[in-house]
Amino acid sequence: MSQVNISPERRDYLRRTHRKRMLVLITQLFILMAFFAVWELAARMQWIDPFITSQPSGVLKTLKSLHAGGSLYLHVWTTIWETFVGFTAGTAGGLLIAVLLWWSNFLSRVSEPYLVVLNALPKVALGPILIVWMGNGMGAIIAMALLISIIVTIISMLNGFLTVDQDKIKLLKTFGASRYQILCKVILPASLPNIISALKVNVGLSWVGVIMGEFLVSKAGLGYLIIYGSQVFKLDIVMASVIILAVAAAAMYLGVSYLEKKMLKWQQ
Amino acid sequence: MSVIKVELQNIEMKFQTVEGETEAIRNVSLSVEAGEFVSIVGPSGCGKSTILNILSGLNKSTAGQVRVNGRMGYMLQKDHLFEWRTILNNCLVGPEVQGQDMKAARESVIHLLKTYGLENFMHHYPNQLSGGMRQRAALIRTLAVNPDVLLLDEAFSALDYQTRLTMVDEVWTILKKENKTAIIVTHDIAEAISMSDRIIVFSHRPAEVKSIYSIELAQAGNPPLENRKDERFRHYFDAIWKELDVHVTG
Repeated sequence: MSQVNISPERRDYLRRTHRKRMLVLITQLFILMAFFAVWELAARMQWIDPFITSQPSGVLKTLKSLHAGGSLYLHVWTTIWETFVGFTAGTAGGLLIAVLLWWSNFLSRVSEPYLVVLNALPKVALGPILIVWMGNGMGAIIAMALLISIIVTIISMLNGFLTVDQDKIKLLKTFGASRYQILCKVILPASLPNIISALKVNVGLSWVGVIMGEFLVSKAGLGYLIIYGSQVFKLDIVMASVIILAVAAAAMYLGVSYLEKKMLKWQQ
Repeated sequence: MSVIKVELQNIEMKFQTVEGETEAIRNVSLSVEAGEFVSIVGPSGCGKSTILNILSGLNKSTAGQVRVNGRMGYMLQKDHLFEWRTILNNCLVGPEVQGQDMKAARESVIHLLKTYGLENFMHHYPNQLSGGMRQRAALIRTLAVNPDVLLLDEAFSALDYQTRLTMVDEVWTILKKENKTAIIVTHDIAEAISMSDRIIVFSHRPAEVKSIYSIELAQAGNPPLENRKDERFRHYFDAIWKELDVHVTG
């Protein structure tokens, strides 16, 4: 990539692409700012009722007071921690079970109808059962997040394993590979893109599980804040929580995307 | 007196599925001597590849005897290089699976890569290589476990025509140089004639040996591309073509 010998056409091209990229970025930022500005303005001018819609300045004030009281971090970390644990356990557990089912054709055939039913079942319906069994604490919430992501993980992973090119497996067999070697040297690495995309889906699902769980039982967390805020009609708290949630969820998603880039170097 | 490397006697193969039974191979006997290049041609779906699977131990024949003297190396139609491994690590997959001494294997693979012009690409990923280079890497991967007999299953048919002609030449030269025996399954009659000492024609499924041609061209030991210019090349081609044709129309 030498910067010295750039033809005028190339310079032109680079400038144009750069300009296009900046234009997209600026528009994106503009939409965000405009959204908040219009919201604030509409609330101040009484076009909308800030009592039920809240307003950015109110949200900011709430964030400040939550920050000052220190409870903001308790709620944020509670939720992030629950999500992280649920996400990790759901992904790892799902992967493990998928490997097991790949290993044993018998097991996979036996479990098939159960997986189909469990997959179709809205896991939220199991929430109350979880609470009864595990108490109204973090355990039930994490279980919820886990449950919501594990079945999808199993199914998508197993499908990925089974669609690995049979000839790649044959190739290893010609060298006399054992089933364990086939798993480690072909199935898992070939499924890496699949695993990563499961991670991406699971991040989202775990947030759903955790927030649902917090709606049902919790004493802390962003889901708790949202429910609490709506019950006492403090929409500032609700909106602040939703905004934090959006930022945290996006951050986690970006983390996975970063991981993807790192791990799938060979795809580029 | 040459050594017999591979011998098949009265091989029979039936595949079972829920839908029914398929008789792939009825009665095949053949033997291949050390250093010999033997091609198997036949109508598609006649069980040519199954013979290779039986030879390499991937499938067990329903009846008959397989005698193999030495190690088998398998080359498939596509290179099947693992996209997540560099060329060097792809070539090391065989020794790795077989638990060989990796240091020695690494050295010998690097030597092979150098000899066959992939030195500068050994730390590249497969998608950075051309089709011909990839197939060459696949050959080195096969050679890395030091097989005595190479089984080539349509090893060139995924390549474009020009690459294919050069690759046939290249692989032939490499295998001759490394003193290997080769059994080649192909549907390309010209390829078979240009590469082989003998051609075995299979019948329609269930496969039987229909006829065997010893290829004697004017100049023995010429590379395949040269062989294509030989006068007798066309004669063999016509003869084998007719033999296959009968079964297509009949």
